[in-house]
Amino acid sequence: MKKPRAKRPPLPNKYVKVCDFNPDSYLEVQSLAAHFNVRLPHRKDSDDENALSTEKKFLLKAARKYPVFAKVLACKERWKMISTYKWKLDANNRIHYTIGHHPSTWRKSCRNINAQNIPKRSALADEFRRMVIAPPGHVIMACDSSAIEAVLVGYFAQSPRYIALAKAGVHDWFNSVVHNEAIDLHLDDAALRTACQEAKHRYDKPSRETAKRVVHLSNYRGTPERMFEEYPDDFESVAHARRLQNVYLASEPGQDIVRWWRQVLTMAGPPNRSLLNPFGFRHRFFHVFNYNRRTQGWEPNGDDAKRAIAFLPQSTASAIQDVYIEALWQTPLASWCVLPVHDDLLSYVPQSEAAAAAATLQRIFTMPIPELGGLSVGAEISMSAVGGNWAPRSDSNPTGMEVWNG
Amino acid sequence: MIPSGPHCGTCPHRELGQRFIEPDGSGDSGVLLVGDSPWMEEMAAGRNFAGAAGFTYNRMLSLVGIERSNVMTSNTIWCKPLRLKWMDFPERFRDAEAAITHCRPNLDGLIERAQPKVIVPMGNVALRRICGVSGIESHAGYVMATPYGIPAVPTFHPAFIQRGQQKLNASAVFALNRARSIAQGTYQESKYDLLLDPPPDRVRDYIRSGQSIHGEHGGRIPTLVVDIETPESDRLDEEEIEQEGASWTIVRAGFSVRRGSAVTFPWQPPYIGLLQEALDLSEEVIEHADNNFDSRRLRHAGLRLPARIVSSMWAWHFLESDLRKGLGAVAPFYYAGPPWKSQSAARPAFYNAMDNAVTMDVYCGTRDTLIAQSRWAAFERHCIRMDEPLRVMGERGLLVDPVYQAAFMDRLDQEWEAANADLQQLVPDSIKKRKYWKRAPKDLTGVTEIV
Repeated sequence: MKKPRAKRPPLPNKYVKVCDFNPDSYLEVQSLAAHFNVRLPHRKDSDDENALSTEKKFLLKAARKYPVFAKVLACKERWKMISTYKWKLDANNRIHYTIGHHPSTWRKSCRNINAQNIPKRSALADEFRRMVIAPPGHVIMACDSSAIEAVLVGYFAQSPRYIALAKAGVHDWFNSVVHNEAIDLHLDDAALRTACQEAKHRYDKPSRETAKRVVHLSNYRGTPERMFEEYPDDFESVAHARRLQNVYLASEPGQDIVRWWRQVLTMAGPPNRSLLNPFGFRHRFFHVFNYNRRTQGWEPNGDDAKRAIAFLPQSTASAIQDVYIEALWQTPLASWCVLPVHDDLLSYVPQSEAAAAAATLQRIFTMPIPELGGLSVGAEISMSAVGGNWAPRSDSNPTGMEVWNG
Repeated sequence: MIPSGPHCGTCPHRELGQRFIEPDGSGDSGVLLVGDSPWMEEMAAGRNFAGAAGFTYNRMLSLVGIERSNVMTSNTIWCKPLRLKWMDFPERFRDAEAAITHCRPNLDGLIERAQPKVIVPMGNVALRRICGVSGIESHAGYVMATPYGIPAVPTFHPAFIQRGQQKLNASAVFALNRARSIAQGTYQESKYDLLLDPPPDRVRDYIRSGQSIHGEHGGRIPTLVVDIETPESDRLDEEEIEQEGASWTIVRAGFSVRRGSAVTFPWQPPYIGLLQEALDLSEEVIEHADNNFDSRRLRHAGLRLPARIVSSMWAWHFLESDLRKGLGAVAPFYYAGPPWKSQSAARPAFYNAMDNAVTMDVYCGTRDTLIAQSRWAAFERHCIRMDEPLRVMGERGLLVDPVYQAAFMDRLDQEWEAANADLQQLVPDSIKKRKYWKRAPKDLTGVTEIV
């Protein structure tokens, strides 16, 4: 019988290479955070108990003390752009996409090149948007439903005061409140709009951004912690965010919103467990309330509570966009629309038709919606120069987008 | 407390497990529900599903209208395991697999004694244990065979539902209702008349059987479901632009002209012509896709389609916007029987015919419910009528300046390289990953020899 061969001992490792740090590996970023004693929160989307979140907001916080995290973010941002947006063009230098309705709120989705996810509001994003251009002899025309979700929050809160304020500029009104120069809420619509416009120019841009964050996130029941987490540049601390939120929610319009929350959460909870918007979109909610053993009562802080509050304005805004597209499809704009981006619609319009197209867009985007009792929403149109690009107009980008004032 | 069940003595898990928990409930309803294992709160209470997951479990039962005392509640292993998710990865934790195997007689004995009429495995661990297959998402709600000769209706584990997946409550409640109907003897399996690769004349007869003989659709097929098969249906992204590649090669097609039936055939003449005949006669074409997958490929292959194309996937999504949309996930709500989605390679003809027959049921069922809820008109307006504008916009696309794009991307590459070089300087070597070789690698850049 053949004697079995003795098992050879494994060879020892003889060569080693120290690999480059990979900023896109969350495990490596976790190790880096551990090395600098930076505490990262647990990942909510992972079953792995040891997985920590390496989201931008947390790394930004760490970057204040350790510059290495700023470099991690710089690498990640550029790599994301390189890997996500190195689009393959067709023979006519165009990208194409499939627009669907994947979100449960029936907002529009964009896949196989997500053109709705194009970055915005940063210097790099502006440069990126310069890639998207109008065909020769055409302008890029974007029509945005101004503050549509805020107007709809007012509609669902059954607050004509909030609707008027949302149309006039609720962020600017709140900014005036923060600056102890509160605009009188009882002004007529035109005067309110003028006062808000004045406030927009009176205060600095960062304070307006902060006011905007407070209004938007508070309307959807965002916590001060979340405000600070999401926008660390806009708030000094969680306490700062809480102070501002308290001011907003204690105001007359804020009280309208709080009342609306109560109504909507009651409707979304048992026994209905669903909400139906005025266009027939329905969403089920199974976890609106949590039982609090200490108070022995049900509290509206379940996983579905915030989703329930956001559902009506968001799904209705999407339905309204359908109404606009349906109406536009009966006009020459049917030949020029190229992309709906949330509350925005992008078109390539021949130069000679630009004024007429803008007027049509303005008319359609402000028309009364019968399903909402004749409610109408404002529209803001911006336009590039002929053959221009999608980035905002500036000295360095003279052919970019600029608000159209007729 | 060391487990003290009748089989615990020789269990490899005995020293590590805690407290042996017996099943509870009378099982009078004929339903046996099986989870994975007890955990902390079950340890304290001494009964299965006692904690937060137990709350979800009780609520599921109450939504179906079943008393917990009337069902039998048990687990895959009957003591507390080492840690949570220990049994979720049998390939990773061999000792977990050994413990599950050792605990088998407990559950086997229970099933033999109680003789339930239906078993409801809850979660993947129980599904593997009872049905011998993995993938709870692709099996939830179907009626499956078990080695015990007792049908099983798998569903999600209450702990999974409770941890941020409350939307699956509807699916779990549906599965429990189905289990109850089996236990009560009222369950009826879906029966389909499937024509698998029939002679052309049979296909012609089948088309005629779908033509309406009276009313506004006289001589027409009111609803035609079409489904195609390609060699690589799931690999799409890069082929979208160029309209070429494997996913644009049709190898099989099928259709359904009325509920309870379908025909399937290989993609070859004269069947292609017969499909065109059916398409010409139809008022509307239904496909279960979110991106016109089938209709675009049929057009690309030269077929004429009617103007009205409806996605049963979007119809379902309009009805139940937070549940999964794939046909395999939707099917159990309209089809009663075993899953078939895993048989695409083994039985391609059966697979395609089932896809067609079930899609017809899903579409008709969804449409009827939306009509009953007075929401069909909203679906027509916001989905069917929106389809053309959204498709046209996607086809037009955005114009990109290729010169700027190339320069911008080059600049980003350079910036990334510069930022990465700075980053590597700032990151201490001690936390960088190391790669080891036993023999000298071909590329020796950055490689040092261990002395």
